[in-house]
Amino acid sequence: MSASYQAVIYNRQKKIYDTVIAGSIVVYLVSYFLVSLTIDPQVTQETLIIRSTATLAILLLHIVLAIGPLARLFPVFLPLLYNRRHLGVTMFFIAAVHGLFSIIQFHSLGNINPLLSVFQSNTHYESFSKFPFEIFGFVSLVILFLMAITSHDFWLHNLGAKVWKTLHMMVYLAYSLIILHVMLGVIQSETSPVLTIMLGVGMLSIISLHIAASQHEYKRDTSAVNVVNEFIKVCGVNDIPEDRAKVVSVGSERIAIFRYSGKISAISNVCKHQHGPLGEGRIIEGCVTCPWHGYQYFPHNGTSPPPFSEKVATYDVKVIQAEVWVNPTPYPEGMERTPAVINTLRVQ
Amino acid sequence: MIKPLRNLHFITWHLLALVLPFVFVLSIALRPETVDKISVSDEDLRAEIRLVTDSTSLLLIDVLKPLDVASCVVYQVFDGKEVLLGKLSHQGQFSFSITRKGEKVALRLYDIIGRKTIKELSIPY
Repeated sequence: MSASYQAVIYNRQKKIYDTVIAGSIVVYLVSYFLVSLTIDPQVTQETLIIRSTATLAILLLHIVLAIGPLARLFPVFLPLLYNRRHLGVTMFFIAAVHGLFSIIQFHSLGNINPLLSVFQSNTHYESFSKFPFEIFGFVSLVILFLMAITSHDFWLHNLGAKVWKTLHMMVYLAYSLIILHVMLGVIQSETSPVLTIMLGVGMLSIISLHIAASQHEYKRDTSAVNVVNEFIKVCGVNDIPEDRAKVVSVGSERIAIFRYSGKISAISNVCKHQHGPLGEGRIIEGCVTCPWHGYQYFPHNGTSPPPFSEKVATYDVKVIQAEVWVNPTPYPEGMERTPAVINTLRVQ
Repeated sequence: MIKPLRNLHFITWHLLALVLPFVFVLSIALRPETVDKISVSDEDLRAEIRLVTDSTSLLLIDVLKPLDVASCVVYQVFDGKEVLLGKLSHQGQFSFSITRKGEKVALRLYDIIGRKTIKELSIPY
């Protein structure tokens, strides 16, 4: 969370995260080179670079795509979400090395432009096994490039969270194209089943996780109450742990109802940063803290503490006989609402 | 995520859950047949090529009868070039690592002292 733009605002967790990423990449590449040279001492350096970066980029893409649904289904994975963008940008650079070396190796020796050669050297569009799979890889690399250059909060702020998030959901298209790139490319001539099995397991895991996460969200959305301008009963006061929230689906969106310091307040569940679920966060130093990237809001007025300027909608809430009621009609973002006071003698 | 994006995520992954496994299975089913072991033989020897990786293979030569020349070497022949693989010194099995080059591989057994070709074998890849 920042009031101005910097390349990367490093803190201890980000440094650990990035160190683990860099260390893992070095270990992977060194291991790949050693194993490959042991199996096939005649393999060239260019081939080793192309193959090692290809497998590493796909592995990282699977990890990137698994973090989102894992964090939705199991909150223990939320810390991985915190710095996912660095993992994604790293994956793009590794995929770019793969693309660059592949173009140099296979398309730069002719008399036409290497980039044009990617599209012109193979025109077997009618054949499944000889299909020009390079095009799938090229297009997916372009998508990953667009995502990488717009990954900074500068673009998030200027494009708006909805446009930015929609743009970055193109990673699903990129993933599909990469599956096609591999299946119609290397798998067509690969004699060992290892790569096919690993890709199949990875693909089914990613699909299963995203289906499970989307079903989880769908059930919450379909159980939403459609009430306007009247209070609805949400839960008992004791059903909300201290400094935590209960999320209620009303109409098309969700409301996060927080309990803190003997009071109850309700704000929108949608963080202004990347639409993170505020109701799955907790109150830290008096502020609702988004579990995704730590953006903060005061629970009674939905505004970020100075010097930050983010605001979310607020809601009226009341406590009647130890039960929490909320009015689902939102107030303008940042409008202060008086918290409901918990009568501790009655609820204990 | 806000609801429109949740819906987009829901539709996208339910669609991909149908399309991606279908493409995956189809690309395996329509894969061209690859032969991972090829062998040729005659009354004197049996040669077998086993694919180790996509670019390298293992050549096994089984000399079935005692040799009647003192110096028999094996060449791999491809695209008009020859690569010396090694020497066959006695009856028994010999193995050589070969690089897969071109569509066809031929072997030439050569008597160095007598300076004559003993045998040529063509192994279709």
